Amino acid sequence: MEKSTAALQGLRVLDLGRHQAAPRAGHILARLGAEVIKIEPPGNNETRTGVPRVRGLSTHWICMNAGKKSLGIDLRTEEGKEIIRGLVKVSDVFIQNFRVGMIQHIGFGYDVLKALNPRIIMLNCSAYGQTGPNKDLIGWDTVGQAMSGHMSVTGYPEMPPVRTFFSLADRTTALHGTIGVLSALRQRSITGRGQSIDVCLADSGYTWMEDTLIAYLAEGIAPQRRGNRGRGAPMNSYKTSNGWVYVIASQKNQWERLCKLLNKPEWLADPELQEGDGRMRKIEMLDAEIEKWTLQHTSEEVERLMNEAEITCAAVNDIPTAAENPQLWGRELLVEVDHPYDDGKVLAPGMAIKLGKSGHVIGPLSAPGQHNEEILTGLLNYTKDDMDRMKEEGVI
Amino acid sequence: MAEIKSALEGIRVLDLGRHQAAPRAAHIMARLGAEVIKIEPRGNNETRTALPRVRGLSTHWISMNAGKKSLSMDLRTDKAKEILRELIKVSDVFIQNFRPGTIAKMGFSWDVLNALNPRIIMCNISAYGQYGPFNERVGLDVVGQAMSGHMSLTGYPETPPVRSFFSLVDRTTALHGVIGVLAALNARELTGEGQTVDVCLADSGYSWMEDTLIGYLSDGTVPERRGNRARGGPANTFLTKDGYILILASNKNVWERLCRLLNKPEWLANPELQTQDGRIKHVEMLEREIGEWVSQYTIDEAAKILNKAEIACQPVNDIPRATQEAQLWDRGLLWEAEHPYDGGKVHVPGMAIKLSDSNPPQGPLSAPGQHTEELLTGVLKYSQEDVEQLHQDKVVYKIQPGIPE
Repeated sequence: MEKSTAALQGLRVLDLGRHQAAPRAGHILARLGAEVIKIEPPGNNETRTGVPRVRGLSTHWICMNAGKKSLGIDLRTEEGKEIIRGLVKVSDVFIQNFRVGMIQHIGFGYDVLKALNPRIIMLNCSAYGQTGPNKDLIGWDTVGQAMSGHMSVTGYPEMPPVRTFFSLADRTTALHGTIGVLSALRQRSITGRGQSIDVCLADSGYTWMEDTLIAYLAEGIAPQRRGNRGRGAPMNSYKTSNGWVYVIASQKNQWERLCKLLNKPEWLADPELQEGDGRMRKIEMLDAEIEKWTLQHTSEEVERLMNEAEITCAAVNDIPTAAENPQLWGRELLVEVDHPYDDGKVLAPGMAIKLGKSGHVIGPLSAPGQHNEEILTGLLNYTKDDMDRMKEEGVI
Repeated sequence: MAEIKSALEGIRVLDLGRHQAAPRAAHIMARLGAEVIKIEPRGNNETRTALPRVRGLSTHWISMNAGKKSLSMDLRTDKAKEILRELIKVSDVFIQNFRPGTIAKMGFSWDVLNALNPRIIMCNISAYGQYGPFNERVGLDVVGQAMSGHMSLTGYPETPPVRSFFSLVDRTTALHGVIGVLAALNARELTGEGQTVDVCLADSGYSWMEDTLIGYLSDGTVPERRGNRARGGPANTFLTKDGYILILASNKNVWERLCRLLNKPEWLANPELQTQDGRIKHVEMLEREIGEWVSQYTIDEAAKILNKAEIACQPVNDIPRATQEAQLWDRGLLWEAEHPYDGGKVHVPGMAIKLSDSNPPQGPLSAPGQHTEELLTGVLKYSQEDVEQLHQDKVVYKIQPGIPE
């Protein structure tokens, strides 16, 4: 079998998502080979124009819409809804992340979708879930980080709780949603039926905190912010002559190699330090001594020396250095696609999930409504005249 | 068409993972209904005993092994490899996260797996990838956070770069692995063939940084560490009388509601503040004013008022508060399972991915080697005598009752 057949070839997805979680799930499906139709509202779409922008298109948009077709419809019109109903009948997946209750209000609850197409799989992303004690609250990414306790334990003791730079809850929820869709597809291959999926930001937040919450509920252990230390020692960020590195030498073999690299036979000779618990007790001393050594070198040197000695270590890269790193390019994590507004190129995400036989698809970015004709006259059975009329009436 | 009760019913997964990413991927599949067989080395397994522990079993282990069967065997012996080869013939997925090259040396390269079972899907998880400029390096979670630039942008301007508390990269990689396996299962419907999946920690780290790197590569923009200030404004954490609360008011509607709640008609009247760009310009002033307003209340009072006004907010919960939220319990995100060593109870993860038509039973935690006999005589066709012999030859191991050494 050639590597060219993508895993989700032949699958059609309707993406009504806004903000992040739902469109990102749509984007993963697109890269796995699905045909993803993004339904865009008329006029200015907030996410297309947010800053920063690359020649008129926000980087936010770019990194979750390459490879999607664009259908511009006003969903408030009856005819617009009729178009969507027609599309539901010939599609496999329907993704949305409106406030809970809204999609039903618009006329596309799961019962409606199911009646139109019993095979349809509906992915519902939200802040707190389609059901549950908080379903009526609105929220964006950080609520998942805050509610689950994660923020309270991230950062330094002397500073307030801190969130991750990127939208971790949105991203996790998108991954969860994708897993839900793919699982439902597998189930459908046996039962012939679709189903609905419920994922949310708050629940994503709780998934990361499972072991911590389990320990608290069982033993009352409530960790505090601990900077960059982790479970086990030594494990921390250390200053170098030109930045920081992150080192993890908490496992027996790597710990021993670290002792040798830093020329610390006394550490190897100390029986207490041969146990993880013992190293945790002496963590301040270990961190101070390791940092004395790293301060004598650049981050690049430390990274090289430690990796040669097979000790886990990575320089804490700033953005320019991260952008030059061979990992990014050697693994094709960013690729060039056509910019939709001019004839130039723009970088878009590649695919971090590599399949040995199924090629992935990094398609171009679309202009708003670029595929109206293709979809309305090709996939559905509207005529050119219908389209002209709908344009006049503001439906498309 | 047939009936199945869960999405992955009928799928058999062999979990040779260690540390986090691979076992977590297998755990997700278990919770979607797959039969997951964890291959454990004899007796004492580092991950089972790490601190903190709940009556002998590490919370680390607990949080990623409920619902898996345990087959305890010494994979250095030829007989154990034979057993594994036979299992491969009757399984759908093989997950491992040894250093690239190791699984092949053990005798289980893709070529071998494919020859044994052309339908098998092999999920290879690693630090830097099965191929790539650093594929020979060792690595654990945080390398993904450091390499991709994420750490450099997390935290406050006045602190060093900060990592996430939990193993974010391991978790993301596990999710990527599951997506890869499920996509490959779908492809197998079309082609009849299995294939490999290659996911890694470093790539997971880079996946979150896409828009930032795209922005930088196109015009040199480098953001700074900005604490909790989010894109758009105002969106940040604010100090109440007894802790922090998150307020997210960068969306147009929410912004307007906030202005009214805080009784700031001058903000609504200022055209500059009606755009996100404009609010970003004045964010220090906005945050100061909101901070002053919030400081009059406790977290719970502020949350009540804000929620009533439909302004997105969330108390920044510490661990105890996080366990008291109805969200955790009503959504079934943790539930009580039997502790495998003493018959008492311990909390284990539920399922955050809810499918309306898929309701697999959520399985318990296993003791090491608990299912060895069941699997060898049930799934494979060994006899009782064969199994006895394998025990005697120290190929497989009986469970030790009570707390393992």
